[in-house]
Amino acid sequence: MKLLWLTPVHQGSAIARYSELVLPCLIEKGCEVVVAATETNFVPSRRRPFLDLEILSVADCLGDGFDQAFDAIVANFGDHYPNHALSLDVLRFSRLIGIFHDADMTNFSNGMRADGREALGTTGEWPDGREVTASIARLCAGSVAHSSFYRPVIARCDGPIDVIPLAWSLPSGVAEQRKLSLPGGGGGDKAFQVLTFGNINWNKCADRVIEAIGAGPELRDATEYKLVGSIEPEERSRLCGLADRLGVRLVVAGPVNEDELHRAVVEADVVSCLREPVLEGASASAIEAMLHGCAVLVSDAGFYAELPDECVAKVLEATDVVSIRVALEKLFVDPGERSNMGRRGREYAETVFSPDSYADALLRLIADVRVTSAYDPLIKRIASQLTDLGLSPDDSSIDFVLRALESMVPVARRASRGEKVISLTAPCARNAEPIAAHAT
Amino acid sequence: MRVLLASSFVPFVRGGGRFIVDWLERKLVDYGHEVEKFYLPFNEHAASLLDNLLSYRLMDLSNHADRLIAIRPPAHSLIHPNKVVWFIHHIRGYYDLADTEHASVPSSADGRALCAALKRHDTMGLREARAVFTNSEVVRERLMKFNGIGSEVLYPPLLAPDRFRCEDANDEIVSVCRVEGHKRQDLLVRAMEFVRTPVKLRICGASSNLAYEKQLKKLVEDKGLQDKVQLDLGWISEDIKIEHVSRCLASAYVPLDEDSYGYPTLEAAAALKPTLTTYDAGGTLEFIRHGENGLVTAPIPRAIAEGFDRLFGERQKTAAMGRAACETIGRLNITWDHVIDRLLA
Repeated sequence: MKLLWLTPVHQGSAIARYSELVLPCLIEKGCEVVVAATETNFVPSRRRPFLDLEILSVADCLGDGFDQAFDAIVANFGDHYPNHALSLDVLRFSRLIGIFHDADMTNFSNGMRADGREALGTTGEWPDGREVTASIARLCAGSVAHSSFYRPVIARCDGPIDVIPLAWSLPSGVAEQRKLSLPGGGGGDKAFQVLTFGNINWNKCADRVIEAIGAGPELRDATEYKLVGSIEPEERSRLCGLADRLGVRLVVAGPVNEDELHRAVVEADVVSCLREPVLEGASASAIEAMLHGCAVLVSDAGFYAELPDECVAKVLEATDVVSIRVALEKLFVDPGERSNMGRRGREYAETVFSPDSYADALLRLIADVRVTSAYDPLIKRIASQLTDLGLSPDDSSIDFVLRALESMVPVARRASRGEKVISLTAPCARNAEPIAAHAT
Repeated sequence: MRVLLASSFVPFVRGGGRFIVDWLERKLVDYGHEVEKFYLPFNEHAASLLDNLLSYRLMDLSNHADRLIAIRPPAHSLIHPNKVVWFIHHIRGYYDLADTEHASVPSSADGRALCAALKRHDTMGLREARAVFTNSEVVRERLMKFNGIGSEVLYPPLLAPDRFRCEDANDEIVSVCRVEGHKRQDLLVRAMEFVRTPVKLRICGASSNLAYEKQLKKLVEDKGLQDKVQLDLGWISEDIKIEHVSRCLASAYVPLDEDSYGYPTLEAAAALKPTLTTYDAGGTLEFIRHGENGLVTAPIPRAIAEGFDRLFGERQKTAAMGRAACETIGRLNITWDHVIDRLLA
């Protein structure tokens, strides 16, 4: 089976790293994979290794007959337009599978508008963030979410959909450095280490963590809070000022290389993956921290809420300072629980977020999409013939025909009884527009 | 028991695919069952394949009989709570022949998707069955390989094997089956160019492929084989067939990767005649053991010619292999008692 895989490929993209984890598994399972970069500005020198595969531009792949050259196209969509813009160019390919990394794509939508693209919906209006995700899913022949909370968003896709936990693993060589013993902290000379890493913006709730640490003398005096990753100067200044006022030891490390990042995670007693609001489909940061065996602090919302309670420390969805303080103090006073939570989290993450399992699930979905694409012309004809009959949606004859069809392939029925309208929607992108049959 | 017997058919094409249905009907009646047999048209062309499958799915036969026996695909798509499938072949242009010159679809993403759709449909229909039987080990293995479906081999018997008799052998090797490219009668004709004995070849059978018929005739003329090769092209009666087979020296049946042993092999065995086949003939090899009840040669004219000469030159051995072929019918339990017992279990 030949796949075209559309993804950002530069070193700063977590989705590029995810792709790099999944592709070897697909190749090992017999797929021939062609990778195309989806960045608006693809700089070859900044690409990840990608098994030394040749990386094409999307335009290189869209020549005559490209739709027959690939058994399926897998396009990754995340909430950052410059990284994913060119994935839009393959929408409506009959076997296109959209991988949706974010439930809300407001930033992507803003990027589209700034780039002069047209809105995807039929009304020409620019929808809100979740509606953007839904609009793209609707144009795909199959769709994947990485957690259940936004399955209803991608359900606008009429083809097969699935929730597949994000594929993630530690880089080779790093896995050996994971925590193998009890974390320190809570006593002795070593500070209680709390870490937030990634792109340090307001969404990561670092200010609230500082306030929570600073709210009580015991935690404040024992704790060092470290921020690792890129940060705007204004945000750095704001957070440092807040920490100074509250007497919190704050270390702002800025961007670091992968080795330094992993060292920081290994040294941490607690990794804060708090988000407000939760927009992402899954958090590579949280999974990575779990794989390291860390105790992880998360907001009880979205992807994070779906993690087992015994594997992470959840704070209320509102992610308020008091809840954060309570959760941190519990972890601070109980090193054994931190260790046990880290062990349980690691076991869970190694199983659930396995790239190999991800590839298996994705191949099942691709198989479903290929089969439904073959039924596309038949469904179109049946819809047209039912329309010509002019029967009521309640007519048993229609149900009889559709039940026979549905025994062969899933079909989205859309019936609006009040308006005496029936429509039958084919499971593929080419037929994404409902074909309506108006009963007389 | 009230039994529905369903199969598909290609209009105006007769052969083993119909014999198995017609004969089973007659035998079920003989065994005291009430039988309703019907053939449904089926067009396996890619443009109408799924439409045809849907038309089968629209027929719910649940309330019409105690049992449905489905034979030629896609009859297994029919709906019945007590469906039993006697699966005789895949629609191979979408399966193992999809990447060959015999493909039913172009080698494109759409073509491969259609193959995948058919495969899933077949698997679904077969899984609905309370039991799945095949007509050969070859088909049993293909069902497992392509559909993950386990099945039991149920070899199809002749309607009336007793009508075949063994008379004194003449000098002829006979080939009685449809005259089609994949049956490779041309290979037999080409072999006759190389025989060293006075052995003769008689080819009997109807064809739906006029070009292949012409090719055979031209081959005989071009090679100057008119005295050695008799072409009886066209449908021959059962009586004439029995006459030819009963008096022949041996039978030849050299299809390419056939689904089962083929009725010609069984008819020859019923007349105590051995069959020459080739090692790429598929299901035929489940019946023929080289040197025991027939000969298995390379699929090339010279090798087949050597086999013909051996059958002619070693007549006692040839007769002994014919008797062994007849015993093979019993060894493989190719009987209606067994077939009906299993299909109605």
